[in-house]
Amino acid sequence: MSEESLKLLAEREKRINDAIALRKPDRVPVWHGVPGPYPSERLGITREEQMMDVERSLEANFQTALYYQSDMVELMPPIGATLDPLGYRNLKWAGHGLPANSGWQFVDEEVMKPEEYDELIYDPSDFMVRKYWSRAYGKLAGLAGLMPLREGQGYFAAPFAFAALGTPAGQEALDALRVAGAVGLKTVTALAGHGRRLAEAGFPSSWAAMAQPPFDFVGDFLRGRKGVMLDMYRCPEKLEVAAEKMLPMAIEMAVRGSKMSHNPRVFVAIHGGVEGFMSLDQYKRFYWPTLQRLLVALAEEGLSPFVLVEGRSNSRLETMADIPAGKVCYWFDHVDMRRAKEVLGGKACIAGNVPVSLLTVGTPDDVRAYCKDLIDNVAVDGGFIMGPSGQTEDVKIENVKAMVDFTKEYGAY
Amino acid sequence: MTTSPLAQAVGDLEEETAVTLVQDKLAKGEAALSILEELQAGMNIVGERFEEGEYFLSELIYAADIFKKAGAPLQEELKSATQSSYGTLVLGTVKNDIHDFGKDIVATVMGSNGIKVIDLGVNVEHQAFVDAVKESGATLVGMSCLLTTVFDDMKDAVQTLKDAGLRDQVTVLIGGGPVDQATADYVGADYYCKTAQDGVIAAKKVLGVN
Ligand code: B12
Repeated sequence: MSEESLKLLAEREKRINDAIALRKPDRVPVWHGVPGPYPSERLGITREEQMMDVERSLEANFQTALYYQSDMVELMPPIGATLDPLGYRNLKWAGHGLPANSGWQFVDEEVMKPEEYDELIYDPSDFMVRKYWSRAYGKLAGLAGLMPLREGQGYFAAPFAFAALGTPAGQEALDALRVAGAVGLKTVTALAGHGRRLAEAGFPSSWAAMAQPPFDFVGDFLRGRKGVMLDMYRCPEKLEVAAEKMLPMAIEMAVRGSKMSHNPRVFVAIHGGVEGFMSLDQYKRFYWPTLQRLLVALAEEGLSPFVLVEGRSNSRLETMADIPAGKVCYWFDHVDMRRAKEVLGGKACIAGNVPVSLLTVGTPDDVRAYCKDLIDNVAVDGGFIMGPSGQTEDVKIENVKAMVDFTKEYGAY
Repeated sequence: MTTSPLAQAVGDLEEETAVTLVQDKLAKGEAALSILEELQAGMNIVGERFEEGEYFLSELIYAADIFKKAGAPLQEELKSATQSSYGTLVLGTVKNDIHDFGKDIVATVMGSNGIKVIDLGVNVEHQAFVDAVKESGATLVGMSCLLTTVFDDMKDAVQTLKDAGLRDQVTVLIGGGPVDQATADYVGADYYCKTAQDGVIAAKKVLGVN
C-alpha cells in the first residue's frame, strides 16, 4: 500500500467516523452511491454483467470509485450470479426479467401464509430451508419435502432425512445448489479481495454487514407488503412475536458480518415503516420497538448502523431520536432536512437527501445549489454526510460528479 | 345522505360486523345489487378518510380485503340471472391503474344481464382493447379508472381504438370513483356510468334491448 493511499484511507475513514460520532470533520464527507450508469456508459460493463459477472462487476465498482474520488464506496454485489442458477423469484434485473439497461427490482409477494406464523416462530431455521427456500427459489422446490431439520439426529433418521433429495425435484435442487455454491464461494472470495483493493487505493468501503429491521424481515420476504398490513389488523400479536423472534438473529448477523469485514458500519434499510404505508401509531407499535432495540444493540457492540430511511419520514423523526448519541447515521430520502437536523441534532448523524430525481433530470448547477443549501444550513456543526437520496440508478454522471466535487470544494469546516 | 350500518362498518374497518351484516341481509332476501351499493358507499368513506390523511395505505388495503370478503357471497347471486347473450363487452381497468373491484362488479352485473364480458383484467395496455375488439367483434368497450392521474391513459386508449379504425364500431362506457361526465368528454367516451347498473342501462340502450 503506497503511503499516499494509506494517508487518504485514514483521512477518509476519519472524516466519516467523525461525522457519525457528531464531531466536526475537516470537511463535509461525501459519497457517490452505487455505480449507476458509469460502468455501462464509460467502461462498457453492462448492467447485466454487473449482476452476473463477478470480476467485471467488481472492476466496474472499482473504476467508478477511482472516477468519483469520494469518501466511501458503496457496492451492489454481483448477486445475480448466485441467484440465477437457483431460479430466485423475487428479484428481477437487467436481462433477467427486465430490459438490458435497467437496475434491479424486488418482486413483492406473499411467500408465507398467515397460518404459518406459528411454524416460523417455533423454528425459524427449519422454516427458512423447507418453506422459504423451496418457495422463493424456483429450483429448490424439492427441499419442501425434507423432514423437519431439527429431527435429523442419530442414525435411524438418516434415510428419512435425505429421502426427499432422491426425488426428481430433490435432484434438481442438488444440481442447482452445486452450481450456486461454486459461484457463491467465488463471489464471497472476490468480495473480500475487492475490499482490500479499495483500501489499498485509499477508499473505505461504505459498509459490509447488513441487518434487516425485524418488521421488514417478516414483511419484505415472508408475508409481502399487503400481507403484513393485513396482519396488523388480523393477527397483530403473531406479527409482534415474529418480529421479536427475528431481532436477536438480525443482531447476530450484523455483528458477525462486521467482525469478519472489520467494517463498523452496518447497512439497515427501512422499507415498510415509511409514512403513507402505516400510521404513526402503527409505526410505534409494530415497527419502531424492534428497530430501536436493533440500533441500540449494534451501538453497544461498537458498531454504527447506517439506516436508509426510504420514502417520507417527517412524522417519524421524534420517535427516531430515541437512540444512543453519536452511533447511528440516518440516510434520508425525502425529509425536511432542517427539521431533521433540529430533532436529531446531538443524537444522530444525518446523511443523503440529494434527490435522485435531481441527479437524474437536473443540471450540475442545480445539484451544486442543492448541496450548497445543505452545507450552509444542515452540515453546520458536523454530524452530516452528503450523498444521494437513494439508489443512483439512472442519474447523470456529471451530476454525481458535481455533488462530490462541490462538497469537497465548498464543504470545508 | 345517511350512512347505512353496513357502509359504516366497512368505513370503520369493522370486518366481522360487515361480513355478518351482508349475511343477514342476504338471509332476509335483500337484493345483492343493493347490498353491493352499501359496500361501495363504505369504500367511499374509506377513500375520504384516506384523502384526509386519517387512513394510510394499510387501512386502504385492509378495507379492500374486507370488501372482497364481505362481498364474496353476493357473487353467486349476481351471476345466476340470465344466460342468453345480447352482445359483447370488452372490459378492463386502464393502463397504470390496478383497482379491480369496480370492474369486477361491472363484469358480474353485465354478465347477469345477458351481456357477454371479455375481461382483460387491470393495467390493460391500450392495444389490448383493440385486439380484443377485433378478435371478438364486440360492440361495447368498458373502461374502469379510479385514478385521476391515469385519465390521460384512458384518453390514449380511446385514441388507440380510433387509430385502429374501430371507434365507429364500438360504444365506449367508462366509470370508476373519480370519473364523471367531464371525464367522459375529455377522454372521448360515449357514456359515463356512475354505477355498474348505469352501465347495464347504457349497454341495453345501445344494443336495443329492454
Ligand atoms: C380499495 C382501494 C384501493 C386498493 C385497490 C384494491 C383492488 N384490488 O382494487 C389498493 C389499496 C390496492 C389501492 C391502491 C391505490 N390507490 Co386506491 N383506493 C381504493 C378505494 C378506497 C376504493 C376503491 C373501490 O374498490 N371502490 C369500490 C368499487 C366497487 O367502486 P368503483 O371502483 O367506483 O366501481 C363502481 C362504479 O364506479 C362503477 N364503475 C367502475 N368502473 C366502471 C367501468 C364501467 C365500464 C362501468 C359501466 C362502471 C364502472 O361500477 C362500480 C360498481 O357500481 C378508493 C376510494 C374511492 N372512493 O373510490 C381509493 C382511491 C381510488 N385510491 C387512490 C389512490 C391514491 C391509490 C394509490 C395511488 C395509493 C398509493 N399511494 O399507493 C394506489 C394506486 C395503485 C394503482 N396503480 O392503481 C385515490 C385516487 C385519488 C386520485 N386523485 O385519483 C382514491 C380515490 C382514494 C382517495 N380518496 O385518495 N387503492
